Amino acid sequence: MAHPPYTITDHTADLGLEFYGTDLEDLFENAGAALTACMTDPETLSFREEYFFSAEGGDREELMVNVLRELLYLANGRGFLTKRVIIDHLDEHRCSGRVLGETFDADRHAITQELKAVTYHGARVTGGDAGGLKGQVILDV
Amino acid sequence: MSDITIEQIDEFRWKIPARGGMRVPGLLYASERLMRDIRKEESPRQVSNVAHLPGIQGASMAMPDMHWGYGFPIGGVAAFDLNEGIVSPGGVGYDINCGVRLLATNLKYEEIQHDLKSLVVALFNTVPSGVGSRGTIRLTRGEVKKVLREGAQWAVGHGYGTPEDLTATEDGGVMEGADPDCLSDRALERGLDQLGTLGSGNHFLEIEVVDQVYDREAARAFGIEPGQVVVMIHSGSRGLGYQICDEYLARMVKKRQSRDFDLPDRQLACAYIQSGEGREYLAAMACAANYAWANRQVLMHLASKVFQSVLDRSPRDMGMRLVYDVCHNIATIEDCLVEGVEKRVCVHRKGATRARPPGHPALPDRYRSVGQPVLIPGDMGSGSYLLAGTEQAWRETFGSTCHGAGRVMSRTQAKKVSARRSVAADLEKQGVIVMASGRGTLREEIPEAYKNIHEVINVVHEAGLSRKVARMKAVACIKG
Repeated sequence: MAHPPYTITDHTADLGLEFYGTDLEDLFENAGAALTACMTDPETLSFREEYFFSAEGGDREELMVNVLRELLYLANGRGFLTKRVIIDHLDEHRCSGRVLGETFDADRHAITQELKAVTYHGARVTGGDAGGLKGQVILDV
Repeated sequence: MSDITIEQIDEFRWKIPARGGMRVPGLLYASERLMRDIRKEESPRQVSNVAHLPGIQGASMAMPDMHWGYGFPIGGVAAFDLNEGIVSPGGVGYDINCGVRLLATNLKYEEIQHDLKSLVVALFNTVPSGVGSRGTIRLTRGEVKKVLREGAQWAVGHGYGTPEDLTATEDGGVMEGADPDCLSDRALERGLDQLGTLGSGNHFLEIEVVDQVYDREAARAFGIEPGQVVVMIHSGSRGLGYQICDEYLARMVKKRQSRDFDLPDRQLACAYIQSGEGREYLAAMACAANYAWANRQVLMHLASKVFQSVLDRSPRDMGMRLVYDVCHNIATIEDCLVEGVEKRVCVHRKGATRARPPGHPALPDRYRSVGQPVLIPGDMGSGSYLLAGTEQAWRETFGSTCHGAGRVMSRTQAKKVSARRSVAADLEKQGVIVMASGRGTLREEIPEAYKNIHEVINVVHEAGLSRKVARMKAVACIKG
């Protein structure tokens, strides 16, 4: 059976998030979708707009957190909600790509949870149980 | 938790001996009962991790409301030498200068009882709350920079409150050294429309009634008596503060390999206080601290306006007056006692409150004989406490005490256990009217999700870290 795309795990004050991918690119794309799912119902979002993003990191954990930090900034700073992430380039230290989604509209979208930040605490990329990769981050809420 | 050794010192003090890379021991304040939960989670390990950081003084401490944070534990207190020590954005937290203020009135509960519902509805409609809420004040980039430099003074200068409010705010509501040039465009932008907004999560505006006075002399000095109506406001620096913490943390994580010390947790990323990055972070953090003070000043003004219009009485007639404003997520450069000797250090309080003793020169005259007012919000059902700073805390904890009840239940767990009930209706039965913007907020913030506030307060009182002065019971609460 395929893994669910993401799981919310317990952390006393904050929110733990786990996601899965066949490779790092897939993992990062799913991480972005999982981040959105913590904030709002992705079903209510459409592909109206596109933003480009890029991030750097010393290793894959730092890179993963920094990609998610960019997406969270788009949400909190620009009001842009990501429905889908498409990675165009990924190497050891850099990641760039596009996010498709739309700007928050109070009539159609509900924010179920405010996310303050994506933390580096406990950020991990490991091999998943059924092959592939598992990513973990803790979100400050 | 098995590899962290915890030794009991006395009824309320527990020591983590300095082992491995720890430069100082850990010191936990808790009762046996609170320790049962604390032992199960990660906060003792985090106390031990903080003890690894360069320049740490005395001990890495945690207050009885401690719980698992990221990097530093929530409830953590750590002071660092100014020359050899570090400053850590994670040791301050994302919500820089998140804090509490208490507004007193001379109204008795009976005088507002019949208008309570109208007051709550009007507060809810007037005070912007909830995720990403925007205020009615729109600032230009130039003006937001003034807010960042001047803090609560900016707000008072623009008609939000009176100069007396500033004397009842920590550091006069303005932190020195704020430099808006240390902020990114993203951080500045996020400050343009969030001044005078409550935010979401555990932030709130509450109408409370003083239900018990423990220390009559201090209560008199603070202007507090049984049956009196007070307003408590809990909020911080909003998106601007989150953005500053986020960006400086990322910068420091990136440079971690060039440091001459190892970090047990990446989220502890830090910079030497005397380094360019360290200084820039402190200058940016001060901007967020000032934004938060201006924010709480505007929020208080909005609340005061609502009372005026609903009760049709003037602020003077209602005896409205700021008792005090404290921050509980901050790093400050201050003179403290370090192992008996006065020394200027950088104190990180992450979910901990400054509590200055009687006679401290920085206290306003009217509070000097009894010590600093310390405001400790509890959960929605249990009430809040007003404490006073003590000599003991001055000697032992760099003048610090707890900041709240502290969570014991995760937000998802809280939502699960409250799934089949109406939290608002339950609270109303207990005499608390609540209104919240977010769908899940009330469920996440159910009283059972928090430690027993009375137990936490009892520890700081019995350990001598602050003195109980009064207890307030909520009668109405608005949340984000």
